[in-house]
Amino acid sequence: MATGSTSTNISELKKIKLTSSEGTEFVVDKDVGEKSILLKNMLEDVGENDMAIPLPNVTGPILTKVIEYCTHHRDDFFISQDDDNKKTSDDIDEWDSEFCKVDQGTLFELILAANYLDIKPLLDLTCKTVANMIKGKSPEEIRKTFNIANDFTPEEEIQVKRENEWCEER
Amino acid sequence: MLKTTNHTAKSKYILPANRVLSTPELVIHIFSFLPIESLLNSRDVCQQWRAILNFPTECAKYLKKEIRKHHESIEYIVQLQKESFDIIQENKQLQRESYRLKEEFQQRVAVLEDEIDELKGNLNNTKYSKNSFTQTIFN
Repeated sequence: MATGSTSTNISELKKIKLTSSEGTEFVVDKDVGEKSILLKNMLEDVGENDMAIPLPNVTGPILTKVIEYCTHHRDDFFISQDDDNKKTSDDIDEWDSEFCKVDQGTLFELILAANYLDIKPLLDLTCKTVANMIKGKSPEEIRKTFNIANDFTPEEEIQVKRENEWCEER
Repeated sequence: MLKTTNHTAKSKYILPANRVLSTPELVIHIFSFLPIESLLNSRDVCQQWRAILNFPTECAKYLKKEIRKHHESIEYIVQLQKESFDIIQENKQLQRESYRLKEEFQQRVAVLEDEIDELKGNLNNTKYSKNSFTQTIFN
């Protein structure tokens, strides 16, 4: 990776400080931190500053994971794929899928953190992982997986069944 | 829509899963990666997901489009069935017609055969009377 090293070297000098919800301080390279659009905008607004940025919505372990992700992808350019093509959850690379092998609570906390910090590729990755947990499951299995209560009334249940008849018959 | 856990009753802590799955924007983002079969199943999970998938978001639009396509193909099949039924009916009609014609033909043939027989008989009679006539002359 000889080509990408120059941009890294310049920003390597600059560090930013972040504080997790427990008050733990994290020091990260500026270019890693700027993977978060929230932080990038904040840094632009505040300018050169030594103050730690408080992140009351993100716990230490989750912030560690987020930093791990941003460090691995520090040289990536994120290409938004919001075109007409149907998006799929089948395009997760090996490192990313290893990264997402965490318990469900952590996965959802990562979604919340990615959403809050505005890190689109991490949000996409974690949401794709959840989408893969929904794929191929029946409504009842989905409820079980995510501990969701079935709040349909019996009448609604009948209506749902009737509406779906066409996809069961062949 | 989501079950709250009992052991956290003292604080108002909501599980991250519940917080994500009850935030429409995040659920919509998750749905955007799903194929139609999964969207159909997701629609039947709970009231909120159903509402999200009936609301005109991108994935709801996609789901509706696919359903419409499916309905159209069903309509097409029904149409084809109707057409083939019509053809069968027409076929039966033609068969009946052909039976009728065959019978009529056979009847006519029988009538004609009778006529032929009659004519043959007449011819024989004429021949016979002719013979007896010549005989009487020669005698």
